[in-house]
Amino acid sequence: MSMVTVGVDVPTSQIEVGVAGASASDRDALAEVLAPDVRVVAADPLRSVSLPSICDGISVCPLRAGLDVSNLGYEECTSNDFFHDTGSGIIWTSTSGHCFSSSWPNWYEGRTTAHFIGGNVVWSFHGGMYVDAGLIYQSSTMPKNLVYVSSGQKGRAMNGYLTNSQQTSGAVACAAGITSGYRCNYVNGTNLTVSTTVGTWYHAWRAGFGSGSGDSGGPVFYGSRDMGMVDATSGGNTYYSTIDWIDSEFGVYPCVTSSC
Amino acid sequence: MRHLVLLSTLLAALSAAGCASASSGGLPTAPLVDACPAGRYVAFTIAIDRSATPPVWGVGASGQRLVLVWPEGFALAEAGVLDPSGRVVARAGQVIDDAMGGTDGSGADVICGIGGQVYVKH
Repeated sequence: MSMVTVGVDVPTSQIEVGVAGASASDRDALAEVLAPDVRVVAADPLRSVSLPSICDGISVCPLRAGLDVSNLGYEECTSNDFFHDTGSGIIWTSTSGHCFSSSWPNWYEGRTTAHFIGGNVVWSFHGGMYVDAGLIYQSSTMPKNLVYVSSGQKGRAMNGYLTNSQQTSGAVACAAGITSGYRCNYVNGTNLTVSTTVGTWYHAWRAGFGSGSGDSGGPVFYGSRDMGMVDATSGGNTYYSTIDWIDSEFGVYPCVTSSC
Repeated sequence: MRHLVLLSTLLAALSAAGCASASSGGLPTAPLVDACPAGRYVAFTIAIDRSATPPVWGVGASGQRLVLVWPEGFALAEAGVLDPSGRVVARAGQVIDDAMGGTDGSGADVICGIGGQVYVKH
């Protein structure tokens, strides 16, 4: 048994410890000792992803959330989670909706055609949008629940996601992006209506860290829980689409196991 | 699948942004927004022809033309495109590889970040 995540659940003021390699009875026994201030949950072990040398240093391939993706003609952004379409059973990958263009339908990792991901599927942005997100066909055989955090932790496994009601002001949020890297701060705005250059966006969430050029699409998460997708920035704040609103828009859920 | 929108249907449906004025030197500008989309435009080269409308546009790697709309307060001067503080952010022939923003409903590329700075409402 090993402890792989530690976090503070702000709404309940509990410390959440994620353990890997423990049976349910072992976790229950540990939780009984630590209750009520600490709760124990199951977590996937931290993965040491074996990367071909071409991937090291430039943070591309194999595909996972937090990497450089581009359609090579319009925008370059950051990959988000794999999402499972509960209707079709298809697993998509994703990035911000405003990164998509019908004129540049194919997506690649990095700035070359060396690592093809797939084609545009659907995306949502422009006036009155509920999320700024889009889905991309992909056929990766890699684990589906990994987030690239930094060169020292190339594949953190996600094992759940936070609903809108769990992302209240004061909750901690972190993000990974191709320009700003890994950063964390508190959620400081929920369910906001925001004007952007691509239209009015309803139901935006805001966290107190900035984002830079190309960070759009990056995963927002805390510990091993997905929270959403980076879309826009203003000074020292980042605006993001939540998982619940992405689900509402597309009928998809983030992959929270390696097989999704 | 509510509010699912395909870009191709929107381009024709939504109104154009960007209006040029004498104070902007003919540069199309758009009002400042609350938040700037953090997507990075694939590198493009600035072209300037003061006799053209608009006088500044981008040329992508494949030769495609980008219709650029700039944040309110930007202007075209002899040196190039100036931000409200007078800083030159784009010159003729310059390759721009850090511009932030996204297309509006008309298909114009509305810039809200360039040169490491974001231009939004305060």
